[in-house]
Amino acid sequence: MSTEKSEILSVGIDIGTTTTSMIVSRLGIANTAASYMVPDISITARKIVYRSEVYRTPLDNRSRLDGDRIREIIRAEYGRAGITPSDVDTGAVIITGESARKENARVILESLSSFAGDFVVSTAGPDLESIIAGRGAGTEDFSSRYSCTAANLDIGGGTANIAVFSCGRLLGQTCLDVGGRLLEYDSEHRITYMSTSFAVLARETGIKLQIGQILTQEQLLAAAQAVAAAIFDALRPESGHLARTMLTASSHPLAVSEPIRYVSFSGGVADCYYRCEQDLFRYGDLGPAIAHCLHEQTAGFEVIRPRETIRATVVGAGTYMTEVSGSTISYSEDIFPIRNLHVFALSGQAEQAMYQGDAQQAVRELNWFLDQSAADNAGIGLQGKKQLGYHELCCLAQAVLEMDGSVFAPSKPLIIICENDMAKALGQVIRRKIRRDKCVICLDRIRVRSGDYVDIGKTVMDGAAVPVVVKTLIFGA
Amino acid sequence: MDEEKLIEMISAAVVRVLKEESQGGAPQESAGAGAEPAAEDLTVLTDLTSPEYKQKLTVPDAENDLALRAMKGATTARVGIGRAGLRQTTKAMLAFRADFAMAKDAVMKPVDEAFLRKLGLPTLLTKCSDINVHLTRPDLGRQLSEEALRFLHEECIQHPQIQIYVSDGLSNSAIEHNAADLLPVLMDGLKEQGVKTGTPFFVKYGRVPTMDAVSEAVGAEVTCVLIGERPGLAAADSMSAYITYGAHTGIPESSRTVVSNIHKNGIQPVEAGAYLVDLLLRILSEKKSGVDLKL
Repeated sequence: MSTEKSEILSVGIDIGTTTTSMIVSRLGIANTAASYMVPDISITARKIVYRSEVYRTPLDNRSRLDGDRIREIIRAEYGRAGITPSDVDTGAVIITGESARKENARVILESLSSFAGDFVVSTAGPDLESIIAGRGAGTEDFSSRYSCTAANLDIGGGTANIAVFSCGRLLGQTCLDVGGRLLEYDSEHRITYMSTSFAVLARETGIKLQIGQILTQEQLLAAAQAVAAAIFDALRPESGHLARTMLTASSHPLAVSEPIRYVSFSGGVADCYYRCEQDLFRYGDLGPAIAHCLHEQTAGFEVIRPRETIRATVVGAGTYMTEVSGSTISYSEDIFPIRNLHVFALSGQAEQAMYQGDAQQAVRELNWFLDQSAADNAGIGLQGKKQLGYHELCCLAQAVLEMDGSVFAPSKPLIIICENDMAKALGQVIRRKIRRDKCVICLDRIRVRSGDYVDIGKTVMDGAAVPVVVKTLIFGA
Repeated sequence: MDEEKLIEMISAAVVRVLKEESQGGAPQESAGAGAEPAAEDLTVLTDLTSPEYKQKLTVPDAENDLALRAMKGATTARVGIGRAGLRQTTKAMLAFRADFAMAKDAVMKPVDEAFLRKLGLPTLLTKCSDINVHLTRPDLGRQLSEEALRFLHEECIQHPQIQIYVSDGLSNSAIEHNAADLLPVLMDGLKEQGVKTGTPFFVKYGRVPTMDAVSEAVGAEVTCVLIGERPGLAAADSMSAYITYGAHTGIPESSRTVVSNIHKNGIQPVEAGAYLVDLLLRILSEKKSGVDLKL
């Protein structure tokens, strides 16, 4: 069923507000269960084999990314890393930062897909970016190693991404529209740019600045102080007013009840923070000043050093976006890789009814979803049961068949993704009852939410499992 | 001083001390650390064998609750159970004894006959006449009774590709909790693949190598027994599947492939059944099992 180890090559590309970078890593996949048990396949090693330089993100103008130049950077970096698109098994492209700069993000992603090989080009929403940065920074591992609660604050040019972990588990995440590049000035300290989110922040904190004005150190620090205050405001148990005002559109306030003991900083501002940058005007933005103000905000926390600073997001994208399915999965045909599978997670009620063999509500929900997304196919997300009896299994399989028959065309593959371990059993029972030429795929140990997009890579470990990337697209259809 | 008088004096002294204690109100501070948390609803009885209780933090004022929880979550061993003075707490002791009792019950009680009827499994006996013989004479547990052999020859499908049967082994609860969900997944799955399976049955007082005698009696190519594992203090209802290609009396143990830890907190029985379908098909096609089979 499975060889002892597999290795897949993963590429991570982060196109941020200010900087763009790429990493190449090898993900080791192994069976960690004893030989007398059902295999338990997981990613056991993450080794970064290549890091690109950190480039200034090329822009056409303030709100448009320069696709051609980005493609050139990536092409050159592939060459330097010594890889070709066909070598790459999995990975993620993430366009982070100020939403205004994402105007043409979709086009960029499509233009980068030629580098993808069999891997999948994906983007994350702001919440997912926070999690990825926290993992890339090593804060998740820290919380696990020292059994504690720790937050990573990834402060970039346009956004601050926050994720809180406790004992290796994610407790919550949030994203604010604040960062080092909300305000820019020239060599004479004359303000050349203020973002719309800076206007909001300034209004909230009583800061009065105008384009063309010469910035004093005092004013610079006041602006930076407002940013730092907003970020730490988000860590309060109830998330303060300032943090809520600066919340990124599709993000959510942090809701963490456990006291946070440690904080780490990543992103461009973190570099200034950890080396205590003295020249506050060095980069023509707020970065060094924010770093300076963070020192005053960290009272009550212990500050730790992350594994990665400015590359936390790209490392996270390259090494943590890919999961491995459970090892007891079922597929009737090897049609992998599957890209951009839109997923609909059935409601708990609909799923419960299916264990009784009743598919009515599931059919209604699924029809609604297909209608909304103007699609004719979707992956079905199920939570699954921790303890599933044979009778329930048969009822569920019957209900899935009914749902499939009344919603999907017979030629479409039936793809089911469950969180709990039951995919092989469910897949076997479904296949026994369905037309032989119908493609049926059942995966487990993957958690999806409605609206997520899922990329399923080519099988690993002799077909025992598949790599999976779950992502949330930030652009409307 | 005669003995009677001595006893009288001692009792009087004990009664005096007890009286003082009950009147004295606050008892002496017990050894400091280790007193059980006071606020507890005594009207609700906790199931001390439940996984919820096992995960409960019972160390008062632990230095790091998160670390303690993580440690307890990582093992079913009794770590971080707290103490009362130099000894374990009453609850920890009771929990231990409750788990021990479950383990003993799992070994000593027979598998419910109504349960076996419901699964449609006829019962065959080994050469053990009762549970004590079963426990003390493994050699007899490896051999089938005359009646069992007759049944296998006369009433069962001969020369199946795969013979599946169930046996109590050392845990009846393993069978009662898992067989009903696993067996149909396995049988249906193999039937679907067009495999000729043997007549399923139940062997009472069976051991793993009993499968060699079964295999010889029906002439099976592959034999698979679903058998109750020796219970521990963590799980009393864990079932295993032992699979042997071309089993015969005296075949080395290294020729068996095993899938263990099938229980509600381990591998789910339905998922294990589905896994076994694929595994059995592979063993059938590769004509080998045990260490020869590269998993």
